[in-house]
Amino acid sequence: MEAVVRKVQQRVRKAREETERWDDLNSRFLSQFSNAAAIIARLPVLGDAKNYGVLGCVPNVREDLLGKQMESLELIFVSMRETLEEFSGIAKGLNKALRNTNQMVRGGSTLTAKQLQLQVGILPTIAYCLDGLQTLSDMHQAEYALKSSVISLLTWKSSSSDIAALRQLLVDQPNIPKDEGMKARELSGSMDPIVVSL
Amino acid sequence: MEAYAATPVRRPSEPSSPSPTPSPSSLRQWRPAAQRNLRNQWSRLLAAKARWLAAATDGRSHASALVNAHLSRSYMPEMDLGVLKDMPGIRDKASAKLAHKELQCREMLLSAYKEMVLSVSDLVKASRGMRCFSKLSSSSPLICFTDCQDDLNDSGDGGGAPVYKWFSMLEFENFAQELVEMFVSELQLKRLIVLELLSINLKEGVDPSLEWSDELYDGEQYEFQSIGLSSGDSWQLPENWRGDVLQARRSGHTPSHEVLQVYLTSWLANVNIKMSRIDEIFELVGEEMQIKLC
Repeated sequence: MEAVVRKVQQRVRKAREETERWDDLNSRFLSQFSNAAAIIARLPVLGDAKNYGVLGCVPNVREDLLGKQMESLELIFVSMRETLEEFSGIAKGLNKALRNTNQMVRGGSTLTAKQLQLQVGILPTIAYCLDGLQTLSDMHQAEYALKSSVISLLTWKSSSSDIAALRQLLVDQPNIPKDEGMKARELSGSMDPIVVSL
Repeated sequence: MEAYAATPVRRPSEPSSPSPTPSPSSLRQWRPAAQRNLRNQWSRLLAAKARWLAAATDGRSHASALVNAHLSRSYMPEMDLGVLKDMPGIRDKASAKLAHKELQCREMLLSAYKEMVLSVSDLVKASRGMRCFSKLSSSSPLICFTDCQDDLNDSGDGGGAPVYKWFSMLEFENFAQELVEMFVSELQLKRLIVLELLSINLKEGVDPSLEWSDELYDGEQYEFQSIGLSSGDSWQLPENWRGDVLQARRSGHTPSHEVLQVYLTSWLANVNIKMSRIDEIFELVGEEMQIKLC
């Protein structure tokens, strides 16, 4: 029984390691977003011929400059979509870990409902671990979906207030509460559980 | 590879007798010398390109520092200084500091620009030094190869034969020319921006604004002449540019915030430089020469 719990814990630990990349990815995603936002914010200024001052004497400079900026923007969008793919990879990985663990516990060895709730020493119960894994998977899946819709809303026509709101969503990551992260750590046993001696 | 040890001007001599029209044997002698020269010139082009891009990046940061210092100084009289506002002479001191900073940025912008001119000059010279002419030395029975044309019958291109596998000398030259055109037109655009940014500050002083025909630093004219971008004493406006707009600018107000933003963005964007095409050209040529040019 203890072996099964340890195995489940190991799965949770692995899953948690996966999520550690999430924050790095998110800072990359944010800087890509800021670069895109900087270009989008400039476009109205660049689009207006009367802002060209002396450059007005150079033929087609406005069209060329706008073209170049749109090109850069397009490249940033491509790299954002690549980052998004990596988010998706993590979310899928978590979902897979959840399914596998569920199968391990409920499939092969038929553990009774009672066993799932059984607490061995200071180890968390299997049910608790599964529940945690489920939460971890759900919230990353939801956050991925949110990010995905954020970038589909970001276009060269976005207004500055829209951009600020979208950016805030990326910073806040509303689907990933900070204390849930703590809970995952606790489940995976990497944090010393508090032992209450009798 | 010897391409990287490049001394581009001197070419080694090959033993044998001369022949003005490319017979198989003369082509056999010409080819190694021509290949060596092309390798050297293309390495030089690559280095000049890198040098240009680095200078443009430096120039961009100096240009934006200059613009920011200038804007801060122009906001200084209305700026809310909070508790500091009662300090005697604080605005003057801050303005003096900003003015000093502007001066430094101008110098640095100018030296970045100078570096860009030198890189373009190097680029142009390399692009014109691709051909390899045979030269019969009277004192020695050996054929030498050189980059100047002694014999009018020898066009230095091996009669249009492939220098390596496929490309003729002319094709190498056309690729180089394509690079040169991009960098030259970008240099002219940047020159206009430098001119305008340097003029901003002058407007408050006694100096008159800079004109397109002014030399931005000592020796600029010489450098431009040496690559054929300016002839005699006249400083020509690039083809297609509208002189009337340039004249109109002299009505003399400081560019607005938006205009400055457009200047800086134009600098950043390297509008005339098609990076993907440049990489493609170096890749094609490198592949043909079997060396790595990137």
